[in-house]
Amino acid sequence: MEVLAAQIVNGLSLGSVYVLLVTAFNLLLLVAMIIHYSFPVIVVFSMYISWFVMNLSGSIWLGIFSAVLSAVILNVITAPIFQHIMKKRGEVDINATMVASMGMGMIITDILSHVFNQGFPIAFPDKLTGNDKAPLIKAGLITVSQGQIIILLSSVIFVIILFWLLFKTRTGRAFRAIAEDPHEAKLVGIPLMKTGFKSYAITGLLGGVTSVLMAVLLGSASAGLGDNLGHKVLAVSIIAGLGNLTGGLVVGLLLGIFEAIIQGYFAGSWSNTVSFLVMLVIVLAKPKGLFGSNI
Amino acid sequence: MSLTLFYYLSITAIYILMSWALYLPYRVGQLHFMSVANMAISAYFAAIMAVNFSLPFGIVLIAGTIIGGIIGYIVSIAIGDAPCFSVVIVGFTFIYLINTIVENMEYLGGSMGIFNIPKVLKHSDSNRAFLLIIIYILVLFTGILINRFEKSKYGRAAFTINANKNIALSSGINIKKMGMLLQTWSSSIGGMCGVMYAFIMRSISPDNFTFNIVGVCVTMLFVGGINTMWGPLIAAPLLWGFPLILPEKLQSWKIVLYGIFLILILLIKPEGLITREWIKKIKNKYKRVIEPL
Amino acid sequence: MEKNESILKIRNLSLYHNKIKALDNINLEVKKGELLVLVGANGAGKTSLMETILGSNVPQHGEILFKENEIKGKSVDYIVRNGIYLVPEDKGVFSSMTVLDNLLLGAHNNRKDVPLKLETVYDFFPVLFDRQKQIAGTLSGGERRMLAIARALMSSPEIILIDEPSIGLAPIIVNNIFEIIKKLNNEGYTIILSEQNIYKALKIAQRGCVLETGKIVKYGCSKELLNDEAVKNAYLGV
Ligand SMILES: Nc1ncnc2c1ncn2[C@@H]1O[C@H](COP(=O)(O)OP(=O)(O)O)[C@@H](O)[C@H]1O
Ligand SMILES: [Mg+2]
Repeated sequence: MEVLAAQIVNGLSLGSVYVLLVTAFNLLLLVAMIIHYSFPVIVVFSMYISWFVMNLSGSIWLGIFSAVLSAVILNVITAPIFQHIMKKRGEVDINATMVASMGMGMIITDILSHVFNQGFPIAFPDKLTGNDKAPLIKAGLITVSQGQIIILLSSVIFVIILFWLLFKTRTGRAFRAIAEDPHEAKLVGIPLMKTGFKSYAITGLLGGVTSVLMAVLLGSASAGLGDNLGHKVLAVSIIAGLGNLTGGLVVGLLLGIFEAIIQGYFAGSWSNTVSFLVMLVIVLAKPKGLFGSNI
Repeated sequence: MSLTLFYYLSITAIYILMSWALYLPYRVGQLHFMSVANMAISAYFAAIMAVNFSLPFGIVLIAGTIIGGIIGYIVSIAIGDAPCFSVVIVGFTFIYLINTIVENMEYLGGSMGIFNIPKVLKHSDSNRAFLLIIIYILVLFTGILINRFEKSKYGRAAFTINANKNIALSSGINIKKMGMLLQTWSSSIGGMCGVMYAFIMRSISPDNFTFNIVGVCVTMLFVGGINTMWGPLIAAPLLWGFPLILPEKLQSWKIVLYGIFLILILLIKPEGLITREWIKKIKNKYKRVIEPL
Repeated sequence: MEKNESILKIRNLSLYHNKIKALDNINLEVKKGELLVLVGANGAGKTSLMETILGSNVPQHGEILFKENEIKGKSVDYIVRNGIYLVPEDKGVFSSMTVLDNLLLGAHNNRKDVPLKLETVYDFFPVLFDRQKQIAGTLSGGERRMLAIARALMSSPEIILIDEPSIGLAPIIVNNIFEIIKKLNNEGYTIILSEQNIYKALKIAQRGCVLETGKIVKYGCSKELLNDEAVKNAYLGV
């Protein structure tokens, strides 16, 4: 029982990282109308950038700043590629945007495995991860570290900001209009490309923040991490129902907790097998998602 | 025959087949990556059968293909008419699942893989020649089958489904059955390729069947031309071959180059290098030359 | 400005949807402050014409002058900002959003005096004031059509294009909607209205034109059209 409780606590921080990734993914899907399968690859790329800058400058804050900056820049400069493909929509379906995103992922992942640290996994300094400090709370098996609290709090704050943006601002209103019906949104005078572009910037920012939180959570990264996360994020989004924002929150958090729990009960990498099996069963049983799709 | 040439020719053939395995379900708009998982499963099946049970090549090839088909069929019962991205995620999850299972099982060689898969024929050269002949017969056979399919009423039905699901429904086409047929076919091609791959490389490891293969096949399919079966036939030899003539330093950047090609083709010529219209033109010209004779 | 000054001029306009001709050499002038009705059966090209004026379709030939400025090829948001707004056929509102959100969307490009405009709109449609926070998808068909028209007002347009507002509504509600349209016209909005059941439309309109397979086949003041034998036979079912 205590193992269970301890793993649930651990799973919360993992889950909240998934939540941020899935939310950004869904936002891009709803507003920019792309399947950005490799969005998590961009996030992992930013982890590498922050690692590089931290090593070079010795400053944690500079590293964090550069991670956010690189995610925003990368997301924004790749936006025209997707938008060009989108313009030919009709001839080219949304599948093409997924394929383009896969191509982007191939490029970035390969660069990561060639250029940084001779292809070996990178490890973040203790100063960032807080691994050298004693946990804040310790009750039997249950430990809560400073990092976990930071991750949980930041995720909650950013999800709230995002929902505030969506439901209380002019841009958010335009986002929701496009998400419901792009053609109708165009007819009432919402510029699809310009508004879509904003979603790239916002998700870039979100991705940058997520990359820092992931560095704190995992303490290390490897080139293959992006593909792994890309798969999980797409899976969560589909299980929740593509483009279903609240569904994504729930399933993302559940996946994190679930993974942590099975890690507590299954040896090493068998836990991955179990989690993939469960995903597979759910998708096969409910290919259209649990909570209904929004697109 | 030099080893380089053998590998080039045989792996090219594998990629042609694997790209066709993606091409088939894409006829109804599904990106079905299951075939890569099937390739892994059947490759391991072939390796175990050949190493531990000394089963003959022919039987292993047939069995591996059938295993691919059966798994593909079972999966297709659930996702024969599922939305594209659910199909995508099933494929990916299967690939990762097989990977983690293999890595965890001592019996399958773990992350080291299986070595020393026996040659089919004793003599090295004749073994290579034999495998090449077999794999190109398979390419020819599969190609003719796909060509036949496209010209049949089933091919036209698939085309209708992709163009407009509602029209397809109202003209009485069974969308799910068509999806199941194409997915099963795709998986059995994957299984076939897996067996061939095991015997060609003679050693396999989980690293051989990852996201990378998906990326390479998708590149070949989209660069070649997503709307015709001739696309992979042209693109696979070119894309697999050109890194070989690059300076060695650039060769290891192959995947980056593929990614760039893939994005460029989507930007500039989304229908790919070879289009249906182009094929029609060639056919017409060919007819004009033939007819006066 | 003079009363009879034309506000929108369309010359030799042709539009193709993937090689299919949807509009064929349209010539049309709309006067400031008038209510013009576009008559035509399904597929005649009414929606195509409206969406072309709005900039959502880009025509292959011809020109569209709005207050003497060429607007052909301009983006929808540019044209909306400059004073043309469409009330789309069929769905018309964003059904997952609240009534208030729908109204504010109307002001997306013209953000001046939003509170004032809201007040005016609520005066015009008191029903909507009571339902500000309600999700638009839960409104009745007539209320939705009103919301769509109200949203247009939020954009302070000079020309309102209203595409088949009567579709799918009970006759009594249709009368209601037509009254509202008439009232808007009296307040000075220039309105282009498309309709299939033209009797009521021609009653409130000053002029009308008849579209058939993308061509304007008749063009004249409402009374003329109402008395025209061919029109009677084709559209009034007399
Ligand atoms: N997006 C489109 N693509 C192809 N054809 C279209 C499209 N929109 C309209 N059409 C065609 O253009 C013609 C005019 O349609 P429309 O303007 O919708 O007529 P109406 O609104 O009068 O019913 C029809 O033949 C219709 O099939
Ligand atoms: Mg219409």
